[in-house]
Amino acid sequence: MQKNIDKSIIFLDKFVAVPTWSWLGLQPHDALVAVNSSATQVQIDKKIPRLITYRISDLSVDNSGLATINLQLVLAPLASVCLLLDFGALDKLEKIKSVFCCLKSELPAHAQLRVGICVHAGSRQNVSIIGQWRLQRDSQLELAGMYTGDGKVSDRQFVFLAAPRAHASVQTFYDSGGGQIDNDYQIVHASSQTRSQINTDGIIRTNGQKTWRATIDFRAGSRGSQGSESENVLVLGQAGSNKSLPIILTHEDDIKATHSVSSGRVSDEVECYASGRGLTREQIEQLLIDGKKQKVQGLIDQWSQTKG
Amino acid sequence: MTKGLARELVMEISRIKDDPEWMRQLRLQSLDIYNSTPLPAWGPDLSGLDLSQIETFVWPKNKIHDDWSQVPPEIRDTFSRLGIPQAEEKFLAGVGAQLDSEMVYHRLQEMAAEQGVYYADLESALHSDYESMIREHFATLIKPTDHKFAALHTAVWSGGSFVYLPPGVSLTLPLQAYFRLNAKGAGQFEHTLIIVDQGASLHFIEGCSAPRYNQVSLHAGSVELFVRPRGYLRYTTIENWSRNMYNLNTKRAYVDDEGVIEWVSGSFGSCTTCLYPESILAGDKAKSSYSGVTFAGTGQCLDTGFKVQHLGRNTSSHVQAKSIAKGGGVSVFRSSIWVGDQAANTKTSLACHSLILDAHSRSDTIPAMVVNHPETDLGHEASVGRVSDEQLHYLQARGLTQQQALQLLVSGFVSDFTNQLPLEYALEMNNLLNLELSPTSKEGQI
Repeated sequence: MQKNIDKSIIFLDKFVAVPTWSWLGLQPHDALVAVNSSATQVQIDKKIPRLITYRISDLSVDNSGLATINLQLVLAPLASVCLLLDFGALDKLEKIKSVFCCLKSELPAHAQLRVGICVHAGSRQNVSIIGQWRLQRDSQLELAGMYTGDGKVSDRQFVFLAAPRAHASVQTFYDSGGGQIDNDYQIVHASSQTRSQINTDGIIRTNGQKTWRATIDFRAGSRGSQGSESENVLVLGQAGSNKSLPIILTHEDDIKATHSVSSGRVSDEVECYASGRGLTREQIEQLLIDGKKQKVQGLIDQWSQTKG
Repeated sequence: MTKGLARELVMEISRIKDDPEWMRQLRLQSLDIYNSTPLPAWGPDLSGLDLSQIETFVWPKNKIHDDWSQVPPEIRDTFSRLGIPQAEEKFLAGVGAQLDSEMVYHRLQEMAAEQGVYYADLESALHSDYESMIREHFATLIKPTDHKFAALHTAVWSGGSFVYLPPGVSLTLPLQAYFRLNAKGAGQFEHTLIIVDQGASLHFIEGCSAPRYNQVSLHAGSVELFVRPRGYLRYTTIENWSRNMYNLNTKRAYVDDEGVIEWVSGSFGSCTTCLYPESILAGDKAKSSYSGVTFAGTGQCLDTGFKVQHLGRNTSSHVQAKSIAKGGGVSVFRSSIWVGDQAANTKTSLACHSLILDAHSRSDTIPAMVVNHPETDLGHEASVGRVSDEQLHYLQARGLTQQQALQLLVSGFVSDFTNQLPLEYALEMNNLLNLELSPTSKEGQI
């Protein structure tokens, strides 16, 4: 039976505050700013794959130390583009107190967009990234994020799968250091046979704080869709705060949805096995961290090789 | 009939029950909290619940008895149809039965009484030697400040049970309480208080039901469970309310060192349910498990789940939840796992699986995990889907009708839960499930 599909949402002015947040005493995100008409528009046609890179040196910084990027990508059908935001040495620039990054795009049919984000924030720096994405038929969005350092980082991505066979994947890694990580990923399946994955690997260290919110919302009309979300946390050090909220909302019967979360220290089995081969505790931990990081790092490295 | 909630009514309830002064004061304080507390900002829509139209106290017409033959025939008939006297004869150590606001029957078998077990309606217990124990525990786990309905409950509570198991006593047969709300447009606010002392062991079964009227009713009970060191308590609930009922129940257990609490919970019926039993694992090596099934049919929104707080060291919890949505029903699983900063070596796992039986229904899974101690092993998995066509075709190819195949598959889906019920209840629950799944039956009510 054909159902009415909610097409009213193009881009949200605000992120949706999932009701359970107030149930848990969590506040909705503060200082949400919609991507507005003042965004820089980047036009991309379908002729050649494109690589667009923003580095710290490309940021415009005002007197208060606020650096902003406000970007709207306008893709032609069949276009393929890779956007890299490389703020891997942000902690070296003390004059930057905070970074505010807004990204927005509507992917037309068969378009492909890859977005890689690397942030290494210093202990006195705040970084806020907001992405709003709407995907048309057979389009594909891949997001890879790597968040490290001692700063306060929030990454919020809202993806709306508006047409059949649209596909979104979010693959992130965080290392809380001594800072705060707040991830919020919301994917709405509003059409049939759409697919989504949210996979996060993370490290929580002494005094690190992390909130991971992932919501997959299967709206009426999303028959044949699939979605999964998972988080895998390795806890190092003594004290930290580790909050996970993997949510699945389902308004259709013909869907497949799974989620999983695991959190723990280095297991005795792994430690015993690795130390039996001559590795110290520190080396074992580093090996595990590298393994987690490599999933995202490998993607970003591969995308950065895009010719165009 | 007394609708709404006025100070005079609360004082009148207190007078009728001959409350001790501390209880009277607690009721009045709770009334003030109720009046100043807003409705929860999250969860199901409660706009259809007009608290001013709810009869908060149904004046007692009958006395409490300890012999079914003395219970008025029309009331005895109601509980007979629910199978309570028959179950008591077969396998229960004691039974309490509540109609509307008051207990009508309470009896404890001699063998249990000889072991020092105390099981009585809460009002009687308040006038017994156990008053100081009740005062020490009552409304300490579920405080009136918790939420609006906890305040309402504490202000107007009536009926319910008090159980005390002395140290080392192991009761091999279960105790049962059954709550029936027959009055039209009424509220039921029973309070259950159970204390399982050191090394004692108990299985308590709670059943709830109500006939259907065209007026909404409210159930806002409260269950406070205390499991002392090395104690064991299994708390089994089958709630099958009619679909004009708002079921806003609160249940909480406090578990000391090496204590064990096991929740077995089946939620059927009601138009709206908010039910999240909670374990507070305060002692070292305390354990909690939860196994629950929720079935949401046409016109129902069942928001159920589980909460656990790990406070002691070496505590563990396991949650296994199943939910089924059919005919436009809404099933929400909402859970919270909270690990405190002193809770070293916590182990916790949570699994929730949902079945959606048609395209009009809805199923949401909203788990939350907050871990404040690094030495924590946490595992969580969830899935949402429908009954597979392959399995249905397989069973149909072997001669089952589509309906029979569906019933078999759903029974298998919830078998983890039914296996934990006493045989009689497992059979009853399977019947209830089949009734709910039947295309012709809209409500499995007695």
